[in-house]
Amino acid sequence: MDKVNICLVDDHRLFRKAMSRLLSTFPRVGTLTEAENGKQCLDLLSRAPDIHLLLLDIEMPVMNGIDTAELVLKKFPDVKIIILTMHDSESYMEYLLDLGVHSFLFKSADPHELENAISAIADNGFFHTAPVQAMLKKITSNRPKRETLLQQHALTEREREILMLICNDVPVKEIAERLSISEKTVHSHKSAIRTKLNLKSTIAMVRWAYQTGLVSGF
Amino acid sequence: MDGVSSTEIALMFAVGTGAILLLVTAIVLFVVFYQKKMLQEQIHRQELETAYQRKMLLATLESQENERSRISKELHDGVGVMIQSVLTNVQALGDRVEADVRHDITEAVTHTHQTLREISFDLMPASLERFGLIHALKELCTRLGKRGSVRLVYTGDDSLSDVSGEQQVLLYRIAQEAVNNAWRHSQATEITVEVSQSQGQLTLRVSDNGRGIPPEVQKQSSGLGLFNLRTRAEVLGATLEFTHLQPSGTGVHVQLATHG
Repeated sequence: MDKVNICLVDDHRLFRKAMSRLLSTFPRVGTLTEAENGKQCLDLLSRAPDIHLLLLDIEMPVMNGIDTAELVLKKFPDVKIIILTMHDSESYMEYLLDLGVHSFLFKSADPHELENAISAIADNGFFHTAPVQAMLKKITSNRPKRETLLQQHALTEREREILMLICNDVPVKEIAERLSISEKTVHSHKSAIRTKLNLKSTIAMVRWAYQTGLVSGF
Repeated sequence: MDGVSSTEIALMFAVGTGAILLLVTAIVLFVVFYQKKMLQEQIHRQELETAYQRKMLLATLESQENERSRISKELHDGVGVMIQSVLTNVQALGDRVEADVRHDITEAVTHTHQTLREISFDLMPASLERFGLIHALKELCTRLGKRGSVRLVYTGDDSLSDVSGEQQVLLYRIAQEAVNNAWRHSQATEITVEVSQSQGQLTLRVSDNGRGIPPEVQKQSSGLGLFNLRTRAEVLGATLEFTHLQPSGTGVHVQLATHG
């Protein structure tokens, strides 16, 4: 996709206004819609199917971000979700990651990081944002478990190669060029990896790669 | 012979003595019985008083925790979002403002925000209510680790069983106080927090490699930090122990019976 259509879900009007102002300065951002809670967001998604990405807050009245993410992932699997939060809590992150959300950013993130993350996640489903980086670093310091090491053998060499490129923030398009295959083939490799490892999202794949020691960038 | 025979006198004497003995025994028994009853009543009254005091203390601590939680959320989610909105607006200004002015405003607002978040976390970690003691302790280690040069490590179990939410909050406060004492006063370079559970016993241990708590400080109950530790352990019905670690440092050791 060329332009990324974004729905900003946050219960604070002043913050939505400020964030919309900032988002509209990014060339990659297309239409911008706002919802003040999860319920409104779901209504919007069923009425406007061209929303590509949600910037989703956690704490909201009526329907919070966690419940919203769960429902959106089930009903609208093509929509990417970036949790945009003030909670710099690992516990929240791990929990949401297991649900299958695509990434995390702090509301205080640098505008460039926000801009890059939006493009990369819309295109590739993964990007090393600061909170994700911190979490991966922590995972790497843990020793891999035996069963995850065994799982690693389930992947073909090509699949492992692609996973390593994804972990290094290489866009799908570039992966296809580097390996002289089509983008579609890259995508089908990606979903094969996900199925084999029984993982819900690209970020979960990346986490797995760090956990098993397939990738270690620190 | 007229009068009372010696046999009769002996009999009367025996009966009289017997009666007196009986009376004395009765009195003695009564006194002993009465004293025992009094003692029992006193113990009972003391037990009631202690239970009442514990209940009152628990109620006070509970309302304190509720208030802390409310203020913490208000700061984090209410004031925090306002500050964040200011920051995002400044960022959206882009090149319309001189770069160094934008940088200075951003820095000041970011610093304010950071301070606010620390205060909010110290008051009540959001993860404690949502994810429980272990998560909150891990986060305490990570956060304090970032604030200074002391290394903080959580080791121990990853989950708990049969520990109520109230108990978890009390245990968290004990750990927090112990960690803060070590962090502020002991000149330690490393602090370890550990929670483990086995056979119905929960053990919380906070150890540091600092200079230790002087014995005179340990004895006085007026030291607020230690007083808080003791009060909370008492309310929990847990044992609290300070140990001197070799070669240096202090261990705070809490043991609580959990069911199951």
